[in-house]
Amino acid sequence: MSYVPSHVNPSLLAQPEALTVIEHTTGTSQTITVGNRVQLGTVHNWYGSFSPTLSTNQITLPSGYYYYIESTIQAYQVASFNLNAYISYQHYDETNTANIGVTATTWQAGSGPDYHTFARDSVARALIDCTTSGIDISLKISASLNCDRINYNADQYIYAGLGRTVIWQLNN
Amino acid sequence: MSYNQRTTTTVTPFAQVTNSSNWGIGNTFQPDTVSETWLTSVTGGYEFIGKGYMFGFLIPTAVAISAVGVGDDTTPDRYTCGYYFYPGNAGRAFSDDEFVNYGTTVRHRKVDPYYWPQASNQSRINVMRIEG
Repeated sequence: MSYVPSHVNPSLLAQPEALTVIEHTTGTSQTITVGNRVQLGTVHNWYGSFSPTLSTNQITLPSGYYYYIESTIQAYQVASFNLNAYISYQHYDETNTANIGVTATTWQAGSGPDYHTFARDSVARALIDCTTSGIDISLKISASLNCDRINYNADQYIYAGLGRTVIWQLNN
Repeated sequence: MSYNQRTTTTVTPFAQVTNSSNWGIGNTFQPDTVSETWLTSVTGGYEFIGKGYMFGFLIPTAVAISAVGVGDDTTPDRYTCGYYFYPGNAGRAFSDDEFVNYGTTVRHRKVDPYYWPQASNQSRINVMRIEG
């Protein structure tokens, strides 16, 4: 991805190498534990030819590229809902054991007058330089309150999208 | 990062679809404003011949709990949907409110509304051409 500065001819822009979306595993038993990896499911290669290897919910990013990654999840409370519930998550560099990128917090508020405040995305983002060496990454839960399942597909899920990880593979 | 484009083009590959007033959400509603001429009008949205990535969000104008997807399918894939809501009625599953998709149209569809809201004129659908 890139952008168009007003003073630059857009012909300087380039295509991304590939665009791939990983559909997260859905079900009724994926509980929320801080530090756990979000379970990953089907790989959808939308553009180019990049189908990353998945192993124990880790994504292998080959060397030779930059990667821009966005992930989001769905959360749910089984027993009864509580107003003021949230879950935070962030990408994790498994190779170098470090959190990477921006933390996302997906939440539902209690009664409030300003719904515009909440009508924006909450997405964990990371820009990763793999131009010299590849790494393995994952998506991990970093905090939660008043919700106990993620990517829960037995009830209410029709009102919410389910989890995904979007990967842009960019030329070096 | 910097890029050298593989295929020269004289137009920006980024477009945005908006509406000057509130959006009426439905399969045939067409927003009235599009920023680039390479998106041409079709029933229910805009399209171009080629590959494109879409992302965007709708903002409710009233009580609303709804999932939104884009694309030609009647029921967009759940993992591509966005979700928007009025928080006073948010006793539901919750997730990201940005929808994404990939294809050749930017037609939007609302799926499984809990109420039947309008979306405000701050709503956006963004399109990136990634042909080649």
